[in-house]
Amino acid sequence: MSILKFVDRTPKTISQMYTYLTDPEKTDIGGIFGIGINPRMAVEEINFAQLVYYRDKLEHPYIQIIFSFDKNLFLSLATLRKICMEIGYVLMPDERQVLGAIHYKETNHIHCHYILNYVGIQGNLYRQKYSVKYYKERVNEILASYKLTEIIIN
Amino acid sequence: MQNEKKNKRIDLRVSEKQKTKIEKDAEHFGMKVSEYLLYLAEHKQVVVISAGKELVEAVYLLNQKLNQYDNYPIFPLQDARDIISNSLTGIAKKMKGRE
Repeated sequence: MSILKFVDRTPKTISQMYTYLTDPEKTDIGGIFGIGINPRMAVEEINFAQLVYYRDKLEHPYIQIIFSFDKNLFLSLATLRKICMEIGYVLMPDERQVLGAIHYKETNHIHCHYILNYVGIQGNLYRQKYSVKYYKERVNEILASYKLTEIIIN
Repeated sequence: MQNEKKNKRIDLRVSEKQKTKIEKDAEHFGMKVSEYLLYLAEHKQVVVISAGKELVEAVYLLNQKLNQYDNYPIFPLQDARDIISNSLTGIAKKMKGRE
């Protein structure tokens, strides 16, 4: 089954998280994408937005969401990227920078980490707009369109 | 400093005029009064990036637009993105240098 998980208050700084997400043993440039952000310089662009809105010393400068595909999935990286990007748009509650990193190397559970800037491009702080159930349903619509295993909703 | 537990309070008396000024200034920067005063305490001054907010939005929209051409690399998209990001980094460094 597929899994969608919201991860609160990760102790890593944004730079540490970026290093982890872009680990060449887990992904490569083809597996990294941005929504409204340069994936190669995501940290700099996230920091700039926070600086402009005087939020440069936030305790939790980002939100992490992880989407995991069902195990033993065989899809091209281009297709994985397309699906993960579509899911990324669903996870955006409003206009804010999103970095996506698909960890697909050396794993049976391909998954995508999403980092959402805690500060939106209008300066608004992150608020989870809908319930987790809502997001799972929206993600399931995408998965169904690709005939992929959906997330179990309790 | 922001990672420390905030369990202490400061109550202070100000004049009507001072209160109005502080509230007005905080509003100008899109901050709550407490955030504004704490920011000043840490940074000594509030530096304004001229059109910074518009720049953030413009770069965001541009990055979105460039995504549409990812599958059709008609020119080195990543280089264009990097030029913009490096410019932002330069502005941020200048801003921090003034603190």
